[in-house]
Amino acid sequence: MRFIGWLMASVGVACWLGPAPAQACGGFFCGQQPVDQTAERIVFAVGEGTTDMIVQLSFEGKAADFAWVLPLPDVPVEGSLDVFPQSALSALDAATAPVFWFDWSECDDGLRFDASAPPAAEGDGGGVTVHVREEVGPFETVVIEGTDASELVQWLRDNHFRVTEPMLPYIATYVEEGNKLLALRLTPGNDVSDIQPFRLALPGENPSIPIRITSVAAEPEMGILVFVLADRRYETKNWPEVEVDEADVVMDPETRRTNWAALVAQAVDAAGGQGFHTELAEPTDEYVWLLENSFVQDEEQEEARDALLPLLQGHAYMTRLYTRLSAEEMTSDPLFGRAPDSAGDVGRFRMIPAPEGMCDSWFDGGESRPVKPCELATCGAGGLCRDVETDDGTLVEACACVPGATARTTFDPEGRVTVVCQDMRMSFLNPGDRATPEEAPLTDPCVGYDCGPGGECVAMNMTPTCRCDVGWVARGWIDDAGDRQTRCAEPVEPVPYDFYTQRLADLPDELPGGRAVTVVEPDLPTVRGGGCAVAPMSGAAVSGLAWLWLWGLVAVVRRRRP
Amino acid sequence: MRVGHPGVGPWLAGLAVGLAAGCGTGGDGCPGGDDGGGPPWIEVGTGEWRFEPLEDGQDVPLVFGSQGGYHVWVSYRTGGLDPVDVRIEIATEILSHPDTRTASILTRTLPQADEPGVYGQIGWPAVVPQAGCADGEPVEVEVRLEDRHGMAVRDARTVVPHASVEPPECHQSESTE
Repeated sequence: MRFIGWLMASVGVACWLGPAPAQACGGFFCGQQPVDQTAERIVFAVGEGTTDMIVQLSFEGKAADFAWVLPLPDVPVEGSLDVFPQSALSALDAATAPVFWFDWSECDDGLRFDASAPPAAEGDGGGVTVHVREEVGPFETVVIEGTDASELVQWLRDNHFRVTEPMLPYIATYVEEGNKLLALRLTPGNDVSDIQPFRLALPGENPSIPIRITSVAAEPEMGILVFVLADRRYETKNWPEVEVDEADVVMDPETRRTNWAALVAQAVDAAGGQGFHTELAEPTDEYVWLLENSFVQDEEQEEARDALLPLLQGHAYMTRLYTRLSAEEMTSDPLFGRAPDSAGDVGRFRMIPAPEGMCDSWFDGGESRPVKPCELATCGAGGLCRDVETDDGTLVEACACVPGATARTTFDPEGRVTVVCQDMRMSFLNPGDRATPEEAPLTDPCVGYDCGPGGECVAMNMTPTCRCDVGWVARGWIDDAGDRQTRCAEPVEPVPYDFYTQRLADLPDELPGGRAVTVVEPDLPTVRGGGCAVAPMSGAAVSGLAWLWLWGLVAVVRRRRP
Repeated sequence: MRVGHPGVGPWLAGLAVGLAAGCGTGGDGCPGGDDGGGPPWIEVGTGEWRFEPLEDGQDVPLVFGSQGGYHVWVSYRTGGLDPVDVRIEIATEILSHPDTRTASILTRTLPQADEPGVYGQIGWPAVVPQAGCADGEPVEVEVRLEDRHGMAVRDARTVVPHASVEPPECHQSESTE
């Protein structure tokens, strides 16, 4: 019954969302709804006493720079290290992602939808024990153990795994808790394009994500998508479940873009920076049926089907959980466990309000109100979105950042260029650092970088970012050479004063970030007749200039290292 | 040992329901705010996905999280408190080993349990950091709650955790007291 509803809703969406390209396909491999293309995808398949973990590895850069370190409480089950098809993870994501459709019930002449329908141990000398060392797919893998984190890090560096000193406290935290370290790097002859999801099996039925160590290499507002295949619904046990009000969902009827990811990010921020939203919780039988009866068009889809079928067939229930986190929010590891019966099922189909004026546009030839870029974007916990007008008159989203944060050009969940504010402390690879002992110190990526007249460049993990002056906002784009560009610009709507009085949360002592940052308070005017917005230089020119020179600089103080 | 109401359970939950009829939401003078009224109480239990009452000395699994170390599942039921923004402290201590008390402190709005006026959490992973020292030994599990009006309750049970996956060796010396 639910499956019939699912198919019907899919047809409904395809009919009513307009310009989606017609495709002669159906079934598991035809998901057309937008998914978070930038999310880290993790699958936990919980069995009797063991959990299979499949992790997507995302990396941009040179093959020699790729390294991945995962703390493990135990040595993986013998013979369990393997690779997994990326196409299978992508297909699972697309086939289970939330689907939105407009609620036409408020339109006088509109069609009515039935809202209820769908819904090997070896000593290596010193204090480092090498448990596993083998090639798996394109990777050289090691599992090492020790009680001294410095020794472990040195061992990794000596063996050409790229680990820098600021990462040490993060690795030390896990080592002190008795964890082993799994490290991966690409074997010679393999390129970044050869990177595949990695699979391993661990004892236990309550998986966790070592998110604290992820913070050393996290993109701001990083999406994390977790699938738990098990005997029943799972939930996060030590992080809150966050809810998203579907009435707040905005969808551009032309592009089908939604603010779903932004709403999840805002809900997580409102919960204190940690939480997961359950996007789907359903038995797997209908997905198995769909997979078994889907037409596969090529070898890639065949490989994905063959990888997914045993996973889904072997587990009665699937839970899909989503969050968006920035590095400074990754201060504890989420642990997953079975949810109470009262949690119930969650379907993937969501009814959202039709946009203002859409009823008229559809039935009377009128025009619905265009969706502004900031309605679909988020700037993170330390940011505020403001639209900016570009030279050709189009509007793009841009971000004002609180003191202590800087704007980084990145990609939104749909792969579009956007900007997010990033905590300046969370930079673990900085100019002057050495990635491995034999390499030259890293050069400053801000040399020659232009943030525009209202900003200053700050290097974050060797990427130039822009800290804009009070009243200015940062916008981003990719230039012809493929490089990320960020510039400070004037917003269409001013930024309110009180935004700049907000501060980023303190970091735990044991996870101090990658560098010390001293935030100098911005000297904001206390009285501002007739309003509470900050104008940049070209706004009210005199007052804008006054604020600019009063704006205290955020000083980046590098820690002294021996 | 217990502050609040020891040994309460369905009986007192039923009492809380009864009191709810005569006592409105928070701010109207009823102790404990908008929980439905009644004196505050708490019962500590166990269970990953359902509440299971605990007797002192009861055996419980010492669960090996795939990446979360070792923990015991703690569930609790409470009433007579304002469930909004409750300060929650959940602690474990290996009684035979000094300095092993570990507490998680958080502020949450408590979800409603399956009975009106009863709130609680199901399946909190209470970390047992020295798991090798806890295997087969008495461990105290304590839950303290304080609502935003300052109303506080506490309950504790002694459990005996047993690990299914062999934990690391115990390196702590036993208490001589």
